[in-house]
Amino acid sequence: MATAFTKGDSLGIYATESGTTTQVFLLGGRRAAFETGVFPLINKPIPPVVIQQVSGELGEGTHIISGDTDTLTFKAQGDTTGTAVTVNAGETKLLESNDTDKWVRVYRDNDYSTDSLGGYMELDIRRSYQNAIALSNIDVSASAKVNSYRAFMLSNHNKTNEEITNLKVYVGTLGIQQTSDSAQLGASGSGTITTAGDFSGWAETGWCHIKTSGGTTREIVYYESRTNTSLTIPATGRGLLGTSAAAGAATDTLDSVPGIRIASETEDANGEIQTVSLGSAPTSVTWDTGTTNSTGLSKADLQPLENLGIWVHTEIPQAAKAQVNCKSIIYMEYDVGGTTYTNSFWGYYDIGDTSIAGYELYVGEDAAPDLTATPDDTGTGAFSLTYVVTPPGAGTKDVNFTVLERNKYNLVSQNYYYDTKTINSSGTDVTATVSAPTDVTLENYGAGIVRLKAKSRQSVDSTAPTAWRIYSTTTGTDPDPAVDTPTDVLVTNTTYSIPSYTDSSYNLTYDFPAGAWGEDRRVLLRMYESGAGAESDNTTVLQAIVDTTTPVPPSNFLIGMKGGDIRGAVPQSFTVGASDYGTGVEHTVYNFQKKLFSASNIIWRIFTHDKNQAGIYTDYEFNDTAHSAAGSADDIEIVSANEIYINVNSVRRCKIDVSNKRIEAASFEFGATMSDDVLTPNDTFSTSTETYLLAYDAGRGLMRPVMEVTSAGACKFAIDFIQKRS
Amino acid sequence: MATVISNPTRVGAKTWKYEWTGTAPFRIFSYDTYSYIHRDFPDTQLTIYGTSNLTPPVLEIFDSTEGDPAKGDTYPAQVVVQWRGTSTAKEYVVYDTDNAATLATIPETGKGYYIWAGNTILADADTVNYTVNVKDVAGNASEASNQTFVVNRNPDAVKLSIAYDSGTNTFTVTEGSD
Repeated sequence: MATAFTKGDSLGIYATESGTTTQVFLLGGRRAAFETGVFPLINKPIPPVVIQQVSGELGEGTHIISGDTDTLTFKAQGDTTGTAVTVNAGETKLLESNDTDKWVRVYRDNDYSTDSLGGYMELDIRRSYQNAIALSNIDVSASAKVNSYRAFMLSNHNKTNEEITNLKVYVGTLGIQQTSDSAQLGASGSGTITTAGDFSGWAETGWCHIKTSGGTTREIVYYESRTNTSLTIPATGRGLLGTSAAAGAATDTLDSVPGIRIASETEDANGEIQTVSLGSAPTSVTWDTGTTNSTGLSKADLQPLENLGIWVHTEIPQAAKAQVNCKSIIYMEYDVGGTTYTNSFWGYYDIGDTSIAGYELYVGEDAAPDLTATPDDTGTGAFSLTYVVTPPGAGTKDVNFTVLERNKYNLVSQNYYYDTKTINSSGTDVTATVSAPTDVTLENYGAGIVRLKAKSRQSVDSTAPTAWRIYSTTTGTDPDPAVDTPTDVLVTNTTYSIPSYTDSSYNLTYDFPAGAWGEDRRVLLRMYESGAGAESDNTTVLQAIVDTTTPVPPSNFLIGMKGGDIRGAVPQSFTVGASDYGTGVEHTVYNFQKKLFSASNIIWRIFTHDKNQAGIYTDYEFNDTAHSAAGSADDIEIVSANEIYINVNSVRRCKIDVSNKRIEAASFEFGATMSDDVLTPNDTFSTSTETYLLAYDAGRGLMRPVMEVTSAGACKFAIDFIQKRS
Repeated sequence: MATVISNPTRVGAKTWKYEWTGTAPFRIFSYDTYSYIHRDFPDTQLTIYGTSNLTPPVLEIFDSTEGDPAKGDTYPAQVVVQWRGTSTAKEYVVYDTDNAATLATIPETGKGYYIWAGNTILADADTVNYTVNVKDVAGNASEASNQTFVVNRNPDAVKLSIAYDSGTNTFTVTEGSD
């Protein structure tokens, strides 16, 4: 049977109303003509189907009515589909999910649509705010409790004249019950309740119904904050909803409850209950805070068309915390035709606190503002917030500002952007008025060239910048705008600065002069506005280590006369002749020999004509003497014609003693494996841990390392040393 | 790893660049539209056009490890109105009584239930009064069915104007305007 207004749908929830010309609702009086409850949004309609009422037990979520030609079935979220029901034109029917407490009453409106019932219908039940049980939003008072009273009616509107028996009405709970087994409240005053259990599913603030282990109410309290294991109760949160403050016990149970209590009132001969003015309590009623069917309100029977008035008292304690989404809920349990049904009536409201509404200033010095900290200043209305800063001892300090707005319901604006002001050590505002460039990159481009690219949005500033200001070093230290002289590239320089066709920006593409392999290029790029002489803020220092060289000439390059001699030639781009290190020291390439001279003294000759003949000829002796004194930045440091060092990262590691014909280092290794992959045309190549001496290998057409000195003082030779024979 | 957002930078007139770290993909909720503008965003930067040179559009950005709904999802700023169709209607007129403005005229198409969702971002604490009038084929209008709605949502971002007194080293922050 699927008759409407039967079974779980026998008990209707109606508003109360009073007055004649002007009607007042929910403050007592007679039963209104309309039902109250929760109402779904219909996302996917079946045109003839009208939703008249739904069970509160459906809860929030999406519930489905499926239809065929003349039948409908209902499936509540989380449940299985109930029995199919035939619904003819003009009929009102009850559709039950498999759980018969979850139902929907529908009407087939044939006047509106003669379509079949085919298809499906989504009932989207959302949080219902400010309905007959949740009432209006409430603003707390700093000095007194805030009380609200409303009345609605439960009505036996069973269409088959069945009576409702064993009617129970009780306050719902909102979280999993816990025990105050770790700490309890004292007899009065503020305190903390602690559990070994878990409060994480409870609201952030709310009411707690404390009961003895026997189930008797000990006290209802309001907690203003909680952790996962404790509730903090203010003194004003004690003894609420008709209870008195009392010391707790370790065996007490704790229930999260709405801040309500309920009372019933039997209708008089006119079918009415008393009326009250807004904010006034009804008289001669007995309030109940029970959270079970045995401790709530009860009525043995409710005859067809009989009504029962239900009063709801909402009590917000003095100085309660602002809180959104406070839920009120009551349950109704009743028997119809020998079957027990449960329904619920619930809704939400917000608690406001006008004292917290306003603007909050958060300041971070050389850091982002901490929006979780205590505000640095607060204000309301046309706010004017202040912050006193201590200038830095030296340099500059960035002072970052964010203002959040908080409404009385404790909802906060979601902005986190901060404005920045910069002051110097004398307390002067030196905030840049020119915006920094964006998308700045520094990358190896090839052939020893490092390329700087960036973008500048010309429309960002009230006066557009006129130049790219480039601070650059190759000394291994970051550029310092206070010391280094910048290179200015005009924004209008058509060689380097190209206007974008898609926005109002200019794009910089700037190539630094080709550097040697391993050159440490560091760049700080700013924008510059010549009219005011203003520079933008610093950007991050970018670094690129040169890892390219000019292209290596082709190997095995031959030249000769047609039909005549052909001979290999040293590629022209290589150093041919002498590399003069000063004080008479030269490294000379000639006829595939590389000779290191000091004045007229030949220290060594390196042959790399081919593998078989490769070798280093010298009459110097090798001596295991470690060196670690600070040297120059040169790979080969010439102290005098008789005192030469090979340095690693500016530390002397290998000494060539010309007077005594001796080469000194911590250790020596001959025939060492050495990578050829050092593409540089120079005599030397160095990293922070190695320095290489190179010689031209005509067989391969490139410079290759033949000697390596490490930062540990090891002196290695890729080819054997041959003591000089002549 | 939760999303960590750097301070947005203005890169053009009312144009702002967001950069962040986190685990892709990202959900991005915009408080300019009160909607998700991306639900599966792969990158860690976004340039977006806003409404102010003083403050960027407010975005909530969630990475793939964060399941929280955006605050703007929980506390929305746009109104939805639903009503049941009637057989005599030709069309329905949604009307803003506070601003004396017709918001929408929706034809009766026989679908049964009608939902009109407003695009206007309502201010926090706004009270709006909307009506739906039924009009028949002869142009006769029904009495208005009135609905009142009070907006409770996160307030808007605050634009700042900052003054500095170097004599007292005091910054004074007031509300700014573009």
